[in-house]
Amino acid sequence: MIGVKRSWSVGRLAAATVLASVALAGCSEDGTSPTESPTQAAPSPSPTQSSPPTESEAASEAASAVLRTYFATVDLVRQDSSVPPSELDTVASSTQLTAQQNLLKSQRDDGLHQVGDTQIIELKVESVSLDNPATALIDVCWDVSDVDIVDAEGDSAVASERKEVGWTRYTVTNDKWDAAPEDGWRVSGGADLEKEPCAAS
Amino acid sequence: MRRVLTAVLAVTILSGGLVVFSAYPANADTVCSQTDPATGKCLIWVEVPATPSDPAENDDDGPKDTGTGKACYWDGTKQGISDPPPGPVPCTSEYGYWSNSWNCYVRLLDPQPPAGDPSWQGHEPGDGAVYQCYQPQVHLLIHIWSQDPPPDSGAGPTPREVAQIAIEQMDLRAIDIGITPAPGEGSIGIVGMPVWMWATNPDRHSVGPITESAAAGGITVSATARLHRISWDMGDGTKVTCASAGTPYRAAYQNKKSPDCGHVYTKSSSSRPGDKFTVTATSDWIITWAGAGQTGTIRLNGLSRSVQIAVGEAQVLVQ
Repeated sequence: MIGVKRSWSVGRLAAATVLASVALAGCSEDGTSPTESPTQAAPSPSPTQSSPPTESEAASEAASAVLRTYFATVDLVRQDSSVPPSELDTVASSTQLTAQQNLLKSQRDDGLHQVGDTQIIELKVESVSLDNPATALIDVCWDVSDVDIVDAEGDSAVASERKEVGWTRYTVTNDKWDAAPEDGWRVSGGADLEKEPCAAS
Repeated sequence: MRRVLTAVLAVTILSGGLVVFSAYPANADTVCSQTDPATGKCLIWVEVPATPSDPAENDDDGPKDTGTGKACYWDGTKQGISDPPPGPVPCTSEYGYWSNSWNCYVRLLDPQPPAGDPSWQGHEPGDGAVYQCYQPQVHLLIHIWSQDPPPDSGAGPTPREVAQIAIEQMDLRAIDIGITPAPGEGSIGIVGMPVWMWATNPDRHSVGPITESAAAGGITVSATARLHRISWDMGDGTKVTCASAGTPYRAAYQNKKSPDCGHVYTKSSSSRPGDKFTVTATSDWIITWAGAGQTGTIRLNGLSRSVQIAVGEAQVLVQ
C-alpha cells in the first residue's frame, strides 16, 4: 500500500509512487490477480524481461503512475496547508484540476484540513487509446476509512453519507504523448462507478 | 466519529444544481458525476440542457455601456441561494467567460471526455461539445453538453440597454398642452392676469407612472417611468418649471392663480410673429430600472409640444 508521509516533498513522493506503481503494475493491490478482463483492456506489462513494453503498455504504466501520484498529492495538499495548490498542476488538468483547486481553496478558507491517507485498494486500467490526446480510463477502488476532514478543534466535517470504500473511473490524458510519453499524463476527469465495493486490504 | 458539518452545504449545492438551469425544460437532468472520496461531497456535476442555448441571448444589439450596468451578473436566487446576493460579475475569469443564461463561467472542456462518458449524455464526440460550467460563488462545477457554445454575456446588452427596450415599449409622449388663454383664434389673454398651464387628457404615456419589462441577453429588466417635471418656455423669455402635471383651469376659479403651475405675462404678444407667444412644454422623465441584480436611473428629457397663444393689453382690448 502506498502511504504518504507529510514530511515528504511532492517530488520525492511522485518518484516513489512511480517506482511503486511500475513494480506493482499488473497486480492488484491486495496481491491477487485482476478478476475481470474487459474487452478492450489495456495489456498489462509482462513480469518477465523477455520483451520491451509496447507503447500501450508504457502508456498504461505511466497513466497508472500519475494516478497514484494524484491520490498522494491530493492527500498532501489537503493535509498540509503550506504545500502550494500548484502541486496539483503536476497531476491533474482540465476539470479535474479546477475541481480539486476549488475544493482545496474552499477547505483552506474554512480552516479545514485532512488527516489520514487515502488508500488505493485496487487499480485497473480499463482501456488505453493513443489517439490525440492519449487517454487511459482507469478504475480505482479507494478506501478513505482512515481519512477525516477536521477543523482547528479537531471536529470532523465529513459528509455523513460518505462511503468509506468506493470506485471511481478516472480519465487520464496526455496531450503531449509524442513529446512527453511519460511525463505528460494528467488526471483530467472522472466519474463514480457503481460496482461492488472492493475488499479492503 | 464524524460529525455532520457539511451536510447542509452539500444539500444546498445539490438543490442548487437541480434548479440552476431552471430556464431549461423540466427534462433537464443534473447528476453528480464524481464524488470526492475523502469528503463525500460532489466534486463534479453533470447536466445536459434540453435546449442548447437561450434564443434571447442572441438579441444583442448596440454597444455595451458598462457605466450604466454590467452585462454579466450572478443570480443565485434561481437556485435558492441568497448569499452572495445577485449582482454583477466580471464577464471573464480564469474559469472562462460568463453566461447569464447558464449562470456560470463557461469553458470548453479540454480535452473532451472520451466517448461513452456520461457527460456526452448519449451523444457521440463531434456532435456538439461538453462544456465546463463553474459557479465560483458556490464552488459548483457542472459538465454540460451543448450543441452550440453557450452565449457569452460579455458580448450581450447591458441592463441599461435592456431598460431602453422597456422604455421604447412605454410609448412615452409629450403632454397635450392645456393652457389659459386657450390656443387658437378667438381667445386672448390679458397682461397681468394669471395663466394656468397643465397637461390635458393625461394618461400613463404622457404623465406616468408607467412600468414595462424587457428581456434580452439573459437579462430581464423592469423599468418604471415617472414624470419628474415639465419645463414651460412661455415665449416671452420666461421659463417656468412645474413639478407636477398642473391643474386644469375651470371658470369658477376666475382670476385665481394656478396652485402649482402658472405664469403672468407682463407684456403683450403683439411684437411676436403672428402676434402670439409660442409656448413649449418639455417633459422631464426619470426612469428607474432594476434587473440583473442591479439598479439604475435613466433621464429622458426632450419630449415637447408647442402651442401659440395671444396675450394683449387690457386697455387695448377695451378700446
